[in-house]
Amino acid sequence: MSDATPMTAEPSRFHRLDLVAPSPIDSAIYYEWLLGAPAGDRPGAGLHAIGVEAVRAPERGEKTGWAPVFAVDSIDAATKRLAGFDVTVRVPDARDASRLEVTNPAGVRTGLVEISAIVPGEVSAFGRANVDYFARDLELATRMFEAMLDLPAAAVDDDPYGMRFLIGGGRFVTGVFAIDAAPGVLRAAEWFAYFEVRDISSVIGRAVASGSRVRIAQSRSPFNDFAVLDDPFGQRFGLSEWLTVREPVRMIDADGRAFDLRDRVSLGEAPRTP
Amino acid sequence: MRAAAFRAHPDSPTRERKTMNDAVPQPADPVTATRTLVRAVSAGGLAGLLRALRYVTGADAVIVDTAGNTLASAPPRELWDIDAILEPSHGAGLTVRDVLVDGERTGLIAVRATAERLRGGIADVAADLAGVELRRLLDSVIVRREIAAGLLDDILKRRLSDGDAASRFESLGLDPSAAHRVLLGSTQLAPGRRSRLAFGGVHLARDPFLRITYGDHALMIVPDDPMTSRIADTFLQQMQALGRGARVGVSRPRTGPVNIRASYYEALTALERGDGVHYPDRVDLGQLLLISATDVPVAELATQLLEPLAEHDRDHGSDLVTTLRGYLEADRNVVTATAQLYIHRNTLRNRLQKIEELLGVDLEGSGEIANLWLALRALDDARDPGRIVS
Repeated sequence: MSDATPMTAEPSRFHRLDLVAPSPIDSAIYYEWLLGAPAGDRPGAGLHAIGVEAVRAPERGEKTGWAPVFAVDSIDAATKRLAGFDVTVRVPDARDASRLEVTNPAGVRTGLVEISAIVPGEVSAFGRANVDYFARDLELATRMFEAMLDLPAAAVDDDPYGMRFLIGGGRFVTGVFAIDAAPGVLRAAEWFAYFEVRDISSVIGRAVASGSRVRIAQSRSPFNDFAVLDDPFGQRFGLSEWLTVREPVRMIDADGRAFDLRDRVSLGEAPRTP
Repeated sequence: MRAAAFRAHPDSPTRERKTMNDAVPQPADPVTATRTLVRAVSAGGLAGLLRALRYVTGADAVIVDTAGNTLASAPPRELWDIDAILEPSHGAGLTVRDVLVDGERTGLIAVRATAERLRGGIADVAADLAGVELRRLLDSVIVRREIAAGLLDDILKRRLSDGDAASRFESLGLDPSAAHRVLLGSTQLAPGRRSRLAFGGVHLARDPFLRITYGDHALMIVPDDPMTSRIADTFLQQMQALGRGARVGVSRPRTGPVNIRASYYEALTALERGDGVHYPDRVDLGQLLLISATDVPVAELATQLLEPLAEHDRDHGSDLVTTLRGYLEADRNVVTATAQLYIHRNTLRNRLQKIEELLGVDLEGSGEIANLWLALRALDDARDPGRIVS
């Protein structure tokens, strides 16, 4: 059985990104330069235009790195759905009950915000970036995100990569991946944030010339060309050049039903960095 | 919420296996294995080579450049401990071979298996093939750099008009009307190893900035933006990887192709200050006037100005030009000048009087001194464009 995923005008549940870095100002300037984000009145202001919520220093032993913020219907309901998983949840700002921070035992953060609290017109990272959660236990991680976001997972049919995708409203929300890694190279889990660029080879070249290191060489997935790098300050990030011409990707849901995912088109709607 | 239950593909990282080496059986015949690698690299480049290597050895493999960038991996999404690969000991369970391009170590290939397990010298074969493929991939970068070196030479020797230089820069992907800086890097290379400069900083992706090997230096032309110092630091690291005494000189920002010349000499001046990254202290107006003048025939005018001294030297076997140069280089200090010229102070005094007489100048006048100093440097510049600052 096969059917096409319905296209909707619904905003993606992948809302924004934030970066915790030891040198937030230097990091903000670096990403603005690398991604061609327009410089604002202070470092990091330009990143808002591509959906970055904050670039800040770590607090009390907090893990550094990029992390996503997802939109959910209800913080209370999300908290209840996560009850059976080995994660800690906290309200980062006591004055704002519309936000929640979920942290796994490895210290990897995921932000949640209630859809009703999102300011109309607020720039979303969707279309300008995408995120993948890399985990050693793919199935457990997939179940956790199904619960956290109250969304079903799907897989690419005959998938050689160990990929899962959370899909909401016919749109990508996040990928969940299994990854091979040498001991100590990857934490038990980790977010990879990929920034959409028009010419990935050129941006990789600029990144390398400015002190970043390529960790996963430019490769092709069914959806995009991508690469993973460490920035000069040690934070991992990704680059993505979405494939503009390709066949719909055959997916299967958890019940084994096949469908063609066509939502890739929507990623091209947003203005992309150079 | 129901739990997702997807089947695992045989090649998925989620598949069960005892060790990575158990993933696939190994063909017993080394000749067949070699043929497999040759076919794979021809069809699929570095990624194809590693896929085939993984097939014939059953072991994951990666190629990294000497700066620690992953160039290809099988499986492609694998994260490697690159620092361990770059270390001389390489870490346990890894077989690592140098990847040579034109005899230079340009990368490394690592296979997650012991050397005993890899039969028939297959790691060496893979390293050789990787070198050939890397050379092929780098060809376009090297050719672009050679074209750019020719352009730079034409600019430094004033063989091009501003317009011609601009159009040639544009053909190389550089907008000369935008503010740029010149970064000049050098390092102590053993004799016969200058070719190493050509491979420094090469990444498969692309040369994002114009990079040139010019003489004993590597040169980059980069946009003037907030990342200049970080690019200069990275450039220095590349120079340090090539040899000792690595240093980088950075020019001030300028626009226009003719000012590449001024930027080049300014970066060269900064380079003279020692190891590390250096920026120019202050503008040397005389020097910049000489290297940026395109309309005024400075060298010809300087020759005419000093011709009475040169003529006297030719006719009488004297050393008036050398004496004038030595006197000015000694900051007109008689003791220093006589020591450097190996002459008696009375001889110096007599020669200076002769110089004043022949040129009709007063060597105590600031304007005359500046004029003569500039003339001598102009002659040096015309003879050897790099001499005046080195």
